[in-house]
Amino acid sequence: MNWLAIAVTFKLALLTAAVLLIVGLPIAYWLTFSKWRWKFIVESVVALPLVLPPTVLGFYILVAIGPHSPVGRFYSDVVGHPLPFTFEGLLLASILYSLPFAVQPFAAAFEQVDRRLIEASWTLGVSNLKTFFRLIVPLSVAGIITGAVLSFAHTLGEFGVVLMVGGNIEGETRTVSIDIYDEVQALNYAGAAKTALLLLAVSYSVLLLVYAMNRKVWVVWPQR
Amino acid sequence: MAAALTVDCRKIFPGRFTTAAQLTLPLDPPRVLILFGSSGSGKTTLLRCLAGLEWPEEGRIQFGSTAWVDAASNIRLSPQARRIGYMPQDYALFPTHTVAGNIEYGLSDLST
Repeated sequence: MNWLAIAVTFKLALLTAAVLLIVGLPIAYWLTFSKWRWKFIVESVVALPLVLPPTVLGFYILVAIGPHSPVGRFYSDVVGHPLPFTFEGLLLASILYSLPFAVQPFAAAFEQVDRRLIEASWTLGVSNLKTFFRLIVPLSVAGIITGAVLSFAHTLGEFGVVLMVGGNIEGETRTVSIDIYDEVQALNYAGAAKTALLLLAVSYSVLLLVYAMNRKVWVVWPQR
Repeated sequence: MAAALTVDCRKIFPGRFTTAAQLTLPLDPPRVLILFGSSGSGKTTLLRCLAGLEWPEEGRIQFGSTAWVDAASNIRLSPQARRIGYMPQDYALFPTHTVAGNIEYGLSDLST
């Protein structure tokens, strides 16, 4: 089993989930509470990775951060090397690719918070930021965990975007899914099976956690 | 000029109806004002506009010399900046807070 690829994958998934927790919460808050009439345009952009083929998304990210783009040139000037085919570039692509998997559960959870509670908080003089952390976040914990866990799990299995933006560099951008593909190409089915089984077990455990979190009541044996 | 709450505004619900309000409530000495009206006449909308929970599309709401809302100048003071109490008919308890937490919820944010 390629432990280096497993380490890269988990590091990528954890960092993606962590960044999306920080970036996704304000976006979800704005999408939920903004009264801007053109809000649906932003909603559609956030949801775009759900329907776009990963290679298309990866292609555009590659072009956007490449050495010929202003972003790519700026990054290259500051850091000293180009962004594509590095872990940082891969992380940026993963964040964009998993954005809807974090933002949509967050926004759905915020939507469920009783509007009267939020308005009561505002009229008691509590600022929007404090209302968010003292009221909205505690009432949306399940949705926030769901979003973070889904973005983590989604990143674990991504393939097309990784290949387009990260390439296949051992210890840097070679993730588990790419490693499985390489093993199959080399006809090493036993090696691929072990890594695939690990990914299956982790993904299933993560989904178990999400569904268990969203159970209303914890009952081992339901009473008849 | 004695302090007064002055309202002259219109709240538009697109495709449904428009509710307009016009009132002047002198505040010195304090007095009680009771709004009467049939269901749907805009009593709650007016109170929500005063509390800052709705923004009228037209007109002005002024408290003393401070403009809370001035649609023409795009002034929209947030509910927190208005120092106004608003108690709707439905109560709202913060389910993540204890009884004490519910009572003291807004205390830390009272400046004076």
